[in-house]
Amino acid sequence: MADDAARPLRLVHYLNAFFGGIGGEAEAHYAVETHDGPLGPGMLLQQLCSGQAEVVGTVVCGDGYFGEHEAAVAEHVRQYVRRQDADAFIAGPAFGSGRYGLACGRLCLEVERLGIPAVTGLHAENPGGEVFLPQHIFAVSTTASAAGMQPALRRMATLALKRARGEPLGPAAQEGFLPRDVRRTVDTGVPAAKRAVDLALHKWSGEPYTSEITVEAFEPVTPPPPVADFSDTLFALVTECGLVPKGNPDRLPAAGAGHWAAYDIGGMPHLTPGEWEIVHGGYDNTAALLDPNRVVPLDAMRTLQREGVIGGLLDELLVTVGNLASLSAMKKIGAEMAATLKQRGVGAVVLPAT
Amino acid sequence: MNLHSWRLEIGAFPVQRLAFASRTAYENGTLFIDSAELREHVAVPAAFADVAVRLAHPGESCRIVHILDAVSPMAKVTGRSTVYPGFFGSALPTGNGRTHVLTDAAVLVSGTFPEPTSGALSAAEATVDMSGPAAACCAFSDTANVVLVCRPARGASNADFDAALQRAKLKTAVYLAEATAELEPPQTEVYELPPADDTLPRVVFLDQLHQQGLLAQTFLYGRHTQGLEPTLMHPNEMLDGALVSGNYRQPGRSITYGHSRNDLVRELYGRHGRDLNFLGVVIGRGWQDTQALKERQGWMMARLASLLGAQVAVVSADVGGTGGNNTIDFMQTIKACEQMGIRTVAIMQEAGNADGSNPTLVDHVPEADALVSVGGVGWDIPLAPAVSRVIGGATVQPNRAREPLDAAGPLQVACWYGAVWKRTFQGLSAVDA
Repeated sequence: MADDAARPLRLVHYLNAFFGGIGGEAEAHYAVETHDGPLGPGMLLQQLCSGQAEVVGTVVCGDGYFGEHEAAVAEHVRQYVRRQDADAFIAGPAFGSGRYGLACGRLCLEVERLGIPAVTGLHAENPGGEVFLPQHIFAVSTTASAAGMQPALRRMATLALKRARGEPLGPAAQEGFLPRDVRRTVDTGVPAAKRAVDLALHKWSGEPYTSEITVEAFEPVTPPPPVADFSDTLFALVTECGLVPKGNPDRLPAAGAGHWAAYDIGGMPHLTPGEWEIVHGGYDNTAALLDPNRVVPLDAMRTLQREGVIGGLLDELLVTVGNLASLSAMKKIGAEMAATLKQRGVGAVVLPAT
Repeated sequence: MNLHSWRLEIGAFPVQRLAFASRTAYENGTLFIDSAELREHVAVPAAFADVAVRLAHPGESCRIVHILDAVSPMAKVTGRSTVYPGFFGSALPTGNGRTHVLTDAAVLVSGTFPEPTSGALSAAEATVDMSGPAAACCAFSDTANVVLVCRPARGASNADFDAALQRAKLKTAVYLAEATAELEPPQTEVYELPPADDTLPRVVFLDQLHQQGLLAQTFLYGRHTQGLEPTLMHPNEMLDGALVSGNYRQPGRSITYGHSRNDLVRELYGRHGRDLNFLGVVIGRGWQDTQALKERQGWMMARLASLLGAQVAVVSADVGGTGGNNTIDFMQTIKACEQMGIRTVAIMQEAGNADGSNPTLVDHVPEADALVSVGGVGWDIPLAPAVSRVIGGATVQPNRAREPLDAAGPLQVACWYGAVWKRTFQGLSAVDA
């Protein structure tokens, strides 16, 4: 942030080789380099800032080179914006260009981590958005082609200056940036019942209408290939049902879990009622408390093991609580569990649902 | 007789102050309460060891804990049935005649169940602060509250205690409002649905009820809704208390008071004949047990809406109370309505991370393209300071995985009592930010 409001803010601009004036596809492997002052679209950017900010330096890099040397270019950019004492970082706009968008997204993320506001410009379907918007970067919504250069740069400059000055931001739709997986409470001043009926009548009349919640497309989970040979495979029991030893030693919560736990079931022929409790607050667990094997079928797994149907059963039961959990927490828990299971040599998991 | 001929007058008696007295009476905004007579009225010796009556007013340094439900004090003055029908003798259809309501006042019931519970079928801590930063997050921080603190009798089962709680809160609501029986209401509103201009869009309100079992259920005319198939209600039946909550799950859950003062019913009533034609309310049970039953539930809701001739549906789950499991039934209802040609809008709450990041709905269908948000209850959590008076208990346990806390001490909870419902009429929503 600028200490002196009168001083023009210092911007560092990132461009790919094409927009940096180096050339097109042939120059995609052009290595990273820096220039003092604005270059190419940076001239327009500077002009649009009407004296409130100046482009003090430009980083240019071929998209191909970036893809092959991401970490090195990121480090180069981090050092450069620090050296330039930048108040904000502007990347692109990349419009619909995938490789350029990925570079802009990554660099915005890196620069934000230094505490310096960063803004890029992406078309809504740019893969760079898909990868980096969930990491909360700011990307102004642009056209797919460079025809929309001027309005894109204008909005990027406005957003970057606002952020650099620490001014409060309005909703994404109002500021013109793409949803970045951050929601905030607002006071509409109108009761939900009235808003709902208004929206319903708009929808019925055929007028355009806007949902207050954008429907997310959940990532599909592809089933893995079938297990080739059960009798040669170490199995594990993993559950989100919240079954824990009496006393809940790991303090798993009833909902919104952020961690998981492992419990020793080695040598147990079955789960003994009374030794376990269920902390999951989302389902009727009366039956499960009477016989925990009905949520975590240890008894059935032991039978399969005895009969030689399965090669073995891991001595640990992996447990979390799946009630009203956030997707990012569950992704983290899933990845940690999978790494643990892999390390133990587990080849198949039984994941009973609740 | 048909839908158009039902006519309900609601006489409103505003309450500014509650006071104990030797006789129960309503005078110029003050409700005097004979607490001994009231306690005698609600006593169920087999289920209650004792019932204490406590009063709380907005602005007091007072915290009410272990809240199980809140009820609008009302009584049927003329008409064929009673308020809260099915709990007072024969389940005669209600929704006509005259009902008196004590407005700006509520009967709260507080207690702890005698037998251990776990999972969904248990009572979650539900707390109200009458002042301070948390008051804005609590329902009933702005009403004058008569709180019944009920202690279970030795040997009473959870089912016994629950049945006694239902009776106690509803009897209290009627007992208090009957103090106005002979008085002329300062304000009267008439609720009826005369035939409307047939060019206006025909709108139905679809309400998904919470029903999972004891301690997590909704009553219709005195009976739980476990096996309920979607059914039609005249909105006047809702206003007269045909739906009663026996649901103690999350603190943001449905409330009997919220059913009888349903905001959507009142909004649709206010616009009937003006910019829409209100066809009535379809209620159905959410929290169905399997995916197949959830899909079936959606079709059964949409089927009834279609048979009523609805062109537009507004869907809510106890006004905003969507969350986990029931979001799936809810989405299936939206999908089925849209696929049957009914333009559908729904009110939802959001979850996700405390900072508002992450997908904030646990399920969606592409047809759910017109949603109204009440925001995320857990996103903005004020720290409530210590209070000088607590009604209902000495400790609170908002998180069952942690040790109980001093009920009078500073308190930070993700969801205060009635927080979701409160947000609906406060007009809170959420935006991408």
